[in-house]
Amino acid sequence: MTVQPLPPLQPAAGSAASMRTKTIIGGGLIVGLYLLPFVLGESYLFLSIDFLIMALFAVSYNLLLGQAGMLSFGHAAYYGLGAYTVAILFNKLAVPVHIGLLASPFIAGAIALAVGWFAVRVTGMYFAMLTLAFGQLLHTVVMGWYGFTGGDDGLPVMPPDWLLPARNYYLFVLTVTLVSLAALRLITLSAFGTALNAIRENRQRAIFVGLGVRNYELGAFVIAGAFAGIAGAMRAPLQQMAFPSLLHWGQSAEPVLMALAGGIHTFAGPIVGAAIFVFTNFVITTYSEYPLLVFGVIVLLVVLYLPGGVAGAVIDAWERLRRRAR
Amino acid sequence: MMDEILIQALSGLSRGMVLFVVASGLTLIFGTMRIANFAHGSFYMLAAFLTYSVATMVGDRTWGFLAALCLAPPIVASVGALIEWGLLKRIATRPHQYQLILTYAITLIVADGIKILWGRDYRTVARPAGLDGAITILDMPFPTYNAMLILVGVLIAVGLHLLLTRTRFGKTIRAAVADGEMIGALGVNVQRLFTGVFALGAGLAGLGGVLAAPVGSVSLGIDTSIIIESFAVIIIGGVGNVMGALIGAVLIGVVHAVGILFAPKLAIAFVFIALCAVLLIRPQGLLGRST
Amino acid sequence: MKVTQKAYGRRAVTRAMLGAMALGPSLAGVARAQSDIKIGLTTDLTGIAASYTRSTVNGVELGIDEVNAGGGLLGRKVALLVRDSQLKPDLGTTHTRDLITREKVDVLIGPNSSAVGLTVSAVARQYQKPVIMTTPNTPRLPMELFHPHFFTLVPSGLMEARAMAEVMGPKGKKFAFIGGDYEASHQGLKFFKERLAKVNPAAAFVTEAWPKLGEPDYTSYITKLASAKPDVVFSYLWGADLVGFIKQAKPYGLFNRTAVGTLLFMDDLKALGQEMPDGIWGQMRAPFFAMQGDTVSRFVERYRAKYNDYPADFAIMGYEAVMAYAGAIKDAQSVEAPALVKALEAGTFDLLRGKTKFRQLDHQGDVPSFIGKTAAGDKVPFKVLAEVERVPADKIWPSEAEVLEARKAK
Repeated sequence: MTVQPLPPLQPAAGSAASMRTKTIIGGGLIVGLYLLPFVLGESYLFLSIDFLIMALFAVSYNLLLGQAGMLSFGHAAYYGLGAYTVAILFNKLAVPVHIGLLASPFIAGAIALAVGWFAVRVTGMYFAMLTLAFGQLLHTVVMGWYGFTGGDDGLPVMPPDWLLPARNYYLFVLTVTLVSLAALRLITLSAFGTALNAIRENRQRAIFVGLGVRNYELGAFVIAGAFAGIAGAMRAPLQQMAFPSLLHWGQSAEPVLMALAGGIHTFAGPIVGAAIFVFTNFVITTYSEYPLLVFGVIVLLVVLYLPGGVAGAVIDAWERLRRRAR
Repeated sequence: MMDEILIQALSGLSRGMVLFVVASGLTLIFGTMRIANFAHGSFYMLAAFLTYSVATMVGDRTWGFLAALCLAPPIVASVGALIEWGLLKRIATRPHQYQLILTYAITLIVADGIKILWGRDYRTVARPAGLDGAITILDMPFPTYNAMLILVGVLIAVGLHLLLTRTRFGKTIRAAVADGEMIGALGVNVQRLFTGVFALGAGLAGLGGVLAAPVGSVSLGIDTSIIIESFAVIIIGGVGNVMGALIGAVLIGVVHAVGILFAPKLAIAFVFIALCAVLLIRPQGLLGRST
Repeated sequence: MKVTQKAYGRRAVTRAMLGAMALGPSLAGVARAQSDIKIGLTTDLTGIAASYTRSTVNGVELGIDEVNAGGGLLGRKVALLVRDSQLKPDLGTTHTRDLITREKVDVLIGPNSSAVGLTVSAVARQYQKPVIMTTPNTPRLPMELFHPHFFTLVPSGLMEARAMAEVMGPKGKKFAFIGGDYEASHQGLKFFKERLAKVNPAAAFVTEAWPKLGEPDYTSYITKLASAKPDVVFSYLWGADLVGFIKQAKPYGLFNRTAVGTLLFMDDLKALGQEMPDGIWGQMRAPFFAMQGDTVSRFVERYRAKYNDYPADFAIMGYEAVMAYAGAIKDAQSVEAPALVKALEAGTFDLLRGKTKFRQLDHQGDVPSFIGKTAAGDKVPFKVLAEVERVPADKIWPSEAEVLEARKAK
């Protein structure tokens, strides 16, 4: 199912105006985000860092699900590999975390290439299962190779002193996330992104018109993996540790949840989803004795009653309002 | 050395049989409904806890186990039917990710639900009288219960085969696996078929849970360890194919058991090594149709 | 005493969510009643360790109840804030940070898993808050990852493996190992072998088995162990895994022919009930049935009265952490970290396991390791340990030179 964007009802000038509104809102949002650490308490700042990382994780995932229609269930593997790239470089070669972060998309992307080479041969649920299986394989390797990865206890990571204060780390993560999101946005709008859309809409037709569907899918898989790697690379210094559960399939469910909760048909949807996810998760694990139950029920309700996610629902409501107003 | 390998293979076979029973349900659901059912492990865990409760209530180890064998799978199958009818049906026309996440949400709910109903302690279920000892094979003791598991596994495989080839329900399932779109055109009540298949699959997971309960411990977390292996089994065997699941499960069990003789430190990766090997040779699974 | 745990429930959640949504960021600045001394406990209430952590929380609650019944500390009541880290290190950091920066807890008690323990300890280091560990026992914590605000009341993995080698070492020549394939287990075997070489130089390992954590079926591992015909089996399995292993090894007669030594928790004894074979050498951290003294029996009585259960090792260690804090706060007449750390370092605390002191160098509590043989218990409905030997800390903990060596190597 896809939500077809409604044909523009207004003249071009109107859309230029709405473009300007968008720019103003976006710019204001970014400025606001940079000012946040001067307003927020430390605990909420950490929560905001958590949100930014999850937002990048979710948006990288949505390149697969929302754009290319590829239902991966092993995305956490690349997220975790990003974290371990930073941790291993730090522990074995004393590379500081902000430098190690530069290597993370390449390592995560390279492994994604190897896995994707197998996985893109199949589609749909079967693709979901294969990515899940490969994700668990990588999790097992990280868990078992304890001489190199620290095994189940994880690998400690110490950010340099200037990154240790919450405010500085927040600003660092914010910058990396915004740059990464901008890059992802450009990719989604490029010819490559359009081709992915075409594959999602009608894979059969895309094959007939001569699109190298598998190569495009593999490309999307690698790019998504690389950006998940960046998200993971920011996670390790935040927790001061890389640990195997970052690669676990339970973690792989999270970007799917965030994308669905926010809405997979808009670029910003997964970001909204990430905000909902991080906040809900924090509240539930703080106050509920049965967090899985509460969380499961919320997910159930979202799946049943919010098919387009929160962003989808908001857009629908907005369209309805506009139509009524006219 | 040969004896050792044989006895290892035999213990791998018994391990594979439980896996087969669980995975056969998963593969039927996947093949018919195209749903990767994460809740399958939850059905298995639920049945194991039900076995504990029934066995404790009855008191006698033999009768308790038999009672659980009769009660738990139908209860779990009903839970499955309820989930399909009440939840999955409502989103049947939506893309895959909704069904996937819905079954995932169920795993969370069941995990905490069991914690609420049964508490946090891990439990054990006694093996039935006469099955708690060992028989001697090749001068080595082999647990009677595991020997019985192998027999029961074979019986269930034969039973499923008959169900799928000799009954109308079974033939419809096979037709649906082969071509999901055609089946509606043939005038089959697809909705009822799906509910039936989901219940059957859940019941098989439940049966696996009952059979496994006396082997080890009944504890929170047994759902996740079985579900990943079951997924691996059905990928290896080819989705929708019960005999494929049998071969996949036995393969994983035997490779694991014999493998630990030669490379004990790789034990945790055997499942995935087998999986990758099969994928390299036959991406669609051993008995899967090529796409 | 008002415990957050008690306030759990749908209403509390809704209220908290509504509150947080309405107030948003401004919550950070909400002024809080500073009259209570707050203990923060981030632990793994969700996941396979749930029964252990419940015991920990129970023990801590009971300790706090008693302190408050006795008039509190420094004239202030003690309050407990519990958070669920779900065995996830990231949640461990998130909640511990939140407890410190928003809830302003004064002291911390550690979680269950070692991985979460490492992150909780790292946060405690960053914010200079005292933390007492009651369950995670990776030797990395007191050795290379040590910091002055870290304290532990658990015998470390190193100490436990050495204690096991002391007791099991002389029992034969051919040794076999079975343990979950994870770091603590690999380390445990390494430490065991090192000490074994001293205790019994003629001994050697004939086979090793490394099942994955959560393995449901040990049959193939057991046939492998059995065919190597060892005199002694050293097991690093625990919990549900150990229970599965023991049940499955019984038909092989493994426990009749071989001396099996294993980590053991009270939960395992409870789960197996009368199915537990006699004569297994179990190593426990705080077995209430093998601990003497009136304080112990009074504690067991109160625990049973309140929770209708026997206190597991984890409950006892959780209770002891509260006792240690209470003693140190009284000594220091303060809850400020610098004074409290000094008092914890200087004091000798009368805990359930006996008089306990933290060693200056690594803040390792000088707690013993209990090793005994499973046998029928006359007062409890499950098997207990008999002929229990208390291996004293100074026989098994790392020498100061070893600790310094490990820190330098890092």
